[in-house]
Amino acid sequence: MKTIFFRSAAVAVLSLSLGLTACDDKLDINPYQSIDASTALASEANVTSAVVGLYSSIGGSNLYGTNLILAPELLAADGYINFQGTFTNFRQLARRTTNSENSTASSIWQAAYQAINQANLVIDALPVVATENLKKQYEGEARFIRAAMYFELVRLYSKQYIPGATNAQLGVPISLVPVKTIQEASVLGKRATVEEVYTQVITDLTQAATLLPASNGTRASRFTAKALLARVYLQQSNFTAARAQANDVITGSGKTLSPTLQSVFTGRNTSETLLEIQQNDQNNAGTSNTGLATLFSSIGQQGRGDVQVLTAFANQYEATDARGTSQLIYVGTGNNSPNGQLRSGKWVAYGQNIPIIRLAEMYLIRSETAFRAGDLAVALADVNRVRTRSGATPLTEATLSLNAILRERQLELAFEGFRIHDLKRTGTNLVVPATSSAPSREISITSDILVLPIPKRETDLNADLVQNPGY
Amino acid sequence: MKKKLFIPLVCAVAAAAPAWAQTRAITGRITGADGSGIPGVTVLEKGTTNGTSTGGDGSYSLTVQPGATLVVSSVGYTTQNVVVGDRTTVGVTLKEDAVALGEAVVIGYGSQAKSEVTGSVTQLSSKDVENVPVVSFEQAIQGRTPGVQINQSSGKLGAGVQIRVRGSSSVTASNQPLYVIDGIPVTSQDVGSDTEPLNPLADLNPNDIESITILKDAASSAIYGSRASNGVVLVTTKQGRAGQSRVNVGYYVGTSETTRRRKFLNAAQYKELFTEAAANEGYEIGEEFEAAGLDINSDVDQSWSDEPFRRGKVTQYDVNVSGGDAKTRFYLSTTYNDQTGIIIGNRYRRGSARINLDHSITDKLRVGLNLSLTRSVNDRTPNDNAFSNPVQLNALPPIQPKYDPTTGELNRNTLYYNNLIDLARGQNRAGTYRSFSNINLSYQPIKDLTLRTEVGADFLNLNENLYRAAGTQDGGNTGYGYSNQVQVINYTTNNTAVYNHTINEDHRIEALAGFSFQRSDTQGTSAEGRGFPNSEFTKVASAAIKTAGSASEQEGFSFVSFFGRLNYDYQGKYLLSGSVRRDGSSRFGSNNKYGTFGAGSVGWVLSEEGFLKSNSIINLLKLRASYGLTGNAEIGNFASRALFSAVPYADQAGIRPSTVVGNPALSWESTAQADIGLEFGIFENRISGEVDVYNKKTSDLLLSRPLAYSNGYSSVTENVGSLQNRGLEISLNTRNFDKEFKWSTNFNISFNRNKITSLAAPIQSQYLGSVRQGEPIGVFYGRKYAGVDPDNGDALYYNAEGTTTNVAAEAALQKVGNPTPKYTGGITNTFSWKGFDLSVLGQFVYGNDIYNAAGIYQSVNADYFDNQTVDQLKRWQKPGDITDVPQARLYAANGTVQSSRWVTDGSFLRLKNITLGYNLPQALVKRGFMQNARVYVSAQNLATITNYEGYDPEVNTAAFSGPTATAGAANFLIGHDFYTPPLAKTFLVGVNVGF
Repeated sequence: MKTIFFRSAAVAVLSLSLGLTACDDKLDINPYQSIDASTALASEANVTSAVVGLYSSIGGSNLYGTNLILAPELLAADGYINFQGTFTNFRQLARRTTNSENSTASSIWQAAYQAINQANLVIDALPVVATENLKKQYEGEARFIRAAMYFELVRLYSKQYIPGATNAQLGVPISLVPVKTIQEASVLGKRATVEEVYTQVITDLTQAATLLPASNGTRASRFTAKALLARVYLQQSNFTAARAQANDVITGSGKTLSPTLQSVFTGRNTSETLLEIQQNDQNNAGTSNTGLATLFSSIGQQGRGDVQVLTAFANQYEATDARGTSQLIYVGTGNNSPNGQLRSGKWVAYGQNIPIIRLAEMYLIRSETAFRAGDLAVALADVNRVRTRSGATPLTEATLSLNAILRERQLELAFEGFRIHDLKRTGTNLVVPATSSAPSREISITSDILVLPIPKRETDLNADLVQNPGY
Repeated sequence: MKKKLFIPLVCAVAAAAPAWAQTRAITGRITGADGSGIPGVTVLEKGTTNGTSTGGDGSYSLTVQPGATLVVSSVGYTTQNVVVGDRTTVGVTLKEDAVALGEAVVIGYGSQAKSEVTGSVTQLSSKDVENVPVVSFEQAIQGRTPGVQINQSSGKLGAGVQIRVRGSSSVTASNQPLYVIDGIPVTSQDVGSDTEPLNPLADLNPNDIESITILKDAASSAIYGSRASNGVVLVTTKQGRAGQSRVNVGYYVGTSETTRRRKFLNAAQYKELFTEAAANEGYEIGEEFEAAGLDINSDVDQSWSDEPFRRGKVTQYDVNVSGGDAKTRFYLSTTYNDQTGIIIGNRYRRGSARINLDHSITDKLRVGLNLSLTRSVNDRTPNDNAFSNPVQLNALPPIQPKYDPTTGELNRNTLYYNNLIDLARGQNRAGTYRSFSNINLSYQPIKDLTLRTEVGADFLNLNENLYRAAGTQDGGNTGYGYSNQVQVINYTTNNTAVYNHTINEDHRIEALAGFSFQRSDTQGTSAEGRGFPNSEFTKVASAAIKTAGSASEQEGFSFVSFFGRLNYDYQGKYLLSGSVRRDGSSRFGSNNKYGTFGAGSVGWVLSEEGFLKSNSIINLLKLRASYGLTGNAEIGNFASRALFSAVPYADQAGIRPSTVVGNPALSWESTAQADIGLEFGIFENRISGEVDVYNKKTSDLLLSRPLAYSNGYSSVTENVGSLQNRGLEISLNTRNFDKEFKWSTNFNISFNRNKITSLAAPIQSQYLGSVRQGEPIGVFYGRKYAGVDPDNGDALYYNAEGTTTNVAAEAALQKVGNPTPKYTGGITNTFSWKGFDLSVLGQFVYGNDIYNAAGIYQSVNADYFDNQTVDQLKRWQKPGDITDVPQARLYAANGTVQSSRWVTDGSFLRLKNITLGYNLPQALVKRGFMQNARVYVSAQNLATITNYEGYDPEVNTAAFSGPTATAGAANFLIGHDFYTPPLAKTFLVGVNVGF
């Protein structure tokens, strides 16, 4: 009997040890909805997908999907818009009570750096892209997106670039290496200067403009890069360079103004836009708490109606100007609109595309820079192209002025994320309108509170990261 | 699947070499002291799982090995070991013993006599869970389980139940025990898509349960290795017994009500308070009311706070048939349970059927099959934090009517959404198909050796349907529909060899070696749409726009395990046991694929020693000690991986990396536990009990370490951090009267002290719950409320200097409460006299705090127009007023920040269950061709004594711990109340008849 037992035991031990090897592969269960990072960018097709992923990231609600458009508007809300919603993060921006734990400041920072690392990973993976044209295109797109993110970061988290100065004021950390492991992700950086960040942005965009094809479907093309470059130079008050880039775009891109401004927002990828965030009903920046239509619109049950357009601003449009009529500024009918509060007609559908750069801006840049260069004819023609499209009375030589052009930018580009940036570069103070209890007062455009805080979480983690003054 | 199963089966069971030996068929009758047969006595061949139980007249038949010893046991009788010898008829007379020390206890991969157990184990029987008006069995054993805290969280039917075996041993991974039904680990965690969790264990019919065993210390649980840190709950379903076929029919019907309700202001009080609040801030109340859509002249007095609740109803029909002969035993059952909840719209129905078969092919070869099928339908209550949660109706001003006076329809013009519209124009239903099945084969090639193989499967199919017609809040202008199908296929094979040998009558050895493989796959398909033609179309097919919730997905995990156990017992005096398990799992990081766990324990039965054996006072005295290492593998299926996921960009598909960077070293959390126990019985076991102390140290806690965003990632999950649970459990059983009138008492009390011993960084929720080093998990941390300044009515807070401030921002953040009880327990008194029996179960929880997170809206001295709790009428009104409620100031944020203002003691004593039954006299019963008949009345949650002012002190909102919350929020956000509905108080009458 003993032998039987031992024999059985021996067989059992043998089969168990066999089992150990036979069953090891039973532990290899891979995720179905994800792929392993080690092979994720190992082929040309995969890198192609990763480039699409870049656009998806910048279209998210923390970036162009909501925050990068809304935050610059809220920071200069006075006399323009009113934030009626319950979100404290947005209310703090509009009322200048932002603190270093503000979630908008934190989410823009996080998402922008995530997109930057994605761009770095794509650039790192380019050697696997065999098709030469695609390789150039992908590098151009990655550089374009990286530049766009650094540009947004430096505008929001740093003091304004001062032309002719050294611009040693603190910018944001620059990372150009792909981060893949815990060790790499634990490296702590420092803030570069504003000058350094702008230099990096211009380097990337200049390269992108040479790498990208002249036309690239709905994605960034050579002219998208140049258009962004025009915007960057304008922000630096480098008017000559801005004009040159805007001019290239106007003359070379083949883009034309759409018949109506409304159609740019209700239609998709119209002849006017140089870059649009693509959205549809399935994939968009949000329908309940995030998304531009969610926050701006108030149409029956649709939209939170959090952003109200103030009558004082709406009244700046002439009666004949389509941009001030119900097409583009309408009376809300849903949430937060018991007294017929006004809403922007630019953001009215959850799944609409979000124009980021459009030709009208290029005309306005050329108009402004031409005016500053004394080239009044060009300035007048360009500003009037934009005005007449919407039925506004054309300016005349007599009424043309720098202020008129700058005001035109506000009227044309309202609710598109330009306001605080324009006020900062032109050094225009905010004016808080008089109320029943207090007279009108000015807020200096160089105030610390108009610069977003470095997220507290980041300064807690990284002692080298200097917080902005005032936080 | 067939192919996948095949290999593991082959892996381990090639060991069976045929060998045949003689066996012996025996019969007999088990009688009591009075000579009458005792039905239901377990007759087990010692050291095996071969056994049967006696029929109605006490007779049994069993086939055993030569030289076998029978273990004859039954609840209430002293267990006897009887050597069969040459006999073919073995009759035994059992001695009564209220202390069930000899009862066989189910342990991992086997069973053991209670007297030989060296681990800490709590076992409950079918009578504890039968015919209790609850949805799942864990709810029925509340108050009966030393060392195990069970919290129902809310009164929603079929919602998740929180169970903590010896405290919380994890911060971010699961804290729920491993559930094993008939040897097969089952899916026990919510697989639905809603924030409000469903309880997958509700699919097990409590009336099918034979026993529930909770393995608490390392000695008993380490055989489950990397999944044992949170304890293991072994559920065994009923088996047929050889003998006369028995038919049992049961029915109960009852009615339910809320345990408690909360009082809110009526219209006059509301107007009074808000008029004052407006005046104090210089507002004209009429204008402010108008701006908020309220009418100061309204003559309505609507009691919104009563709208969420109604009188509920419970019914259950239950039939089971069991019986068998020497070769085949069977148990068949079917049950239909229908509960209409106390919350409007909430209803749970379950129909289930089970067949458990056991057949002896030869004397050495047995085959068994357990198969169950359950269908349940749950009309759900939305999560607490949804405007559609009916309890949130209590926020509506009493001056707004329920029905619109002009249209006669449900009023849409209310301050917050009148969610009664959801119930009128929508549906929120979860349906489940569930099958637990298990087929097993056991074979005894030689004496003392049993080989067993089993394959079990747990199929779960969940179907969630949500529809909100146009005009509801979620439905918007065009209607909203969502449908989600989840299928979880979870299969396991266990293969064990047990060798049982006695040397010289003194040395008994039991050795177990085994192999197990488990794989679980979850697949989900969902569809979401907006834009329905009208409210008669309710399926997504009719929706014009299919939106982002439409998806299909899959994930899975596997475990490959080898385990062994050795038990040694010398003369029943000295007990020694050791177990080991090596677990490999797909969840563990590539650098840590396998982990080894194990435990050792010793026992010393002093009462078997010569110096005590003849002692007439002490009947049992046993000391035991154990130490071992277990793990917690509930770390997420792919937490170790660096992954890229698909991201849509309108119509294009892209990929991008996860924001969590991969960690190839990621592994299980480890728990080392020491336990010392004492079991005793004195005065002929009229007083008996068990005392355990333990120290449980968990290390390698899975925590998320934040990474600088500027590198593109947000965090990494690492095994850092540790915590400790120390505790004491006492259970005491007494037989106070033991004549014709019987009275016995079971009392248990458990103390557990939890402490976080190391942590990467404090984790603070946006409420008060937090995790901090040196404090128990979930400690309430925030501003400390200091009452009201008697001079001006300002709310005051304590600042860092210990003085008070009326500026909330200056208040110091500090510990303001602890949601973990100091002790919990229960007491059961059972009386019987002639045919009557009465059992009274009391449950208590002491020393925990509850934070009412809705306080900032509902008990905030009229800061905004939410209706207020009546205690807010005690507001400060004039200098010199001494009160806790600050001056009413509309919009002025006087005392509105989250603070200890809404932290209260959550201790309670609850009359959990009272059941009074009457067994009809045999003479009468026989005349109706019945074996037995019992009628009973029962009340569940009849009375609750507490100082808590909210709805119910047994509360734990799930709203803040849903899929989007911080990892582990469900573990540490405990004791928070947020418009959470109370439990039900249920009265029922029932009848059980046996044929």
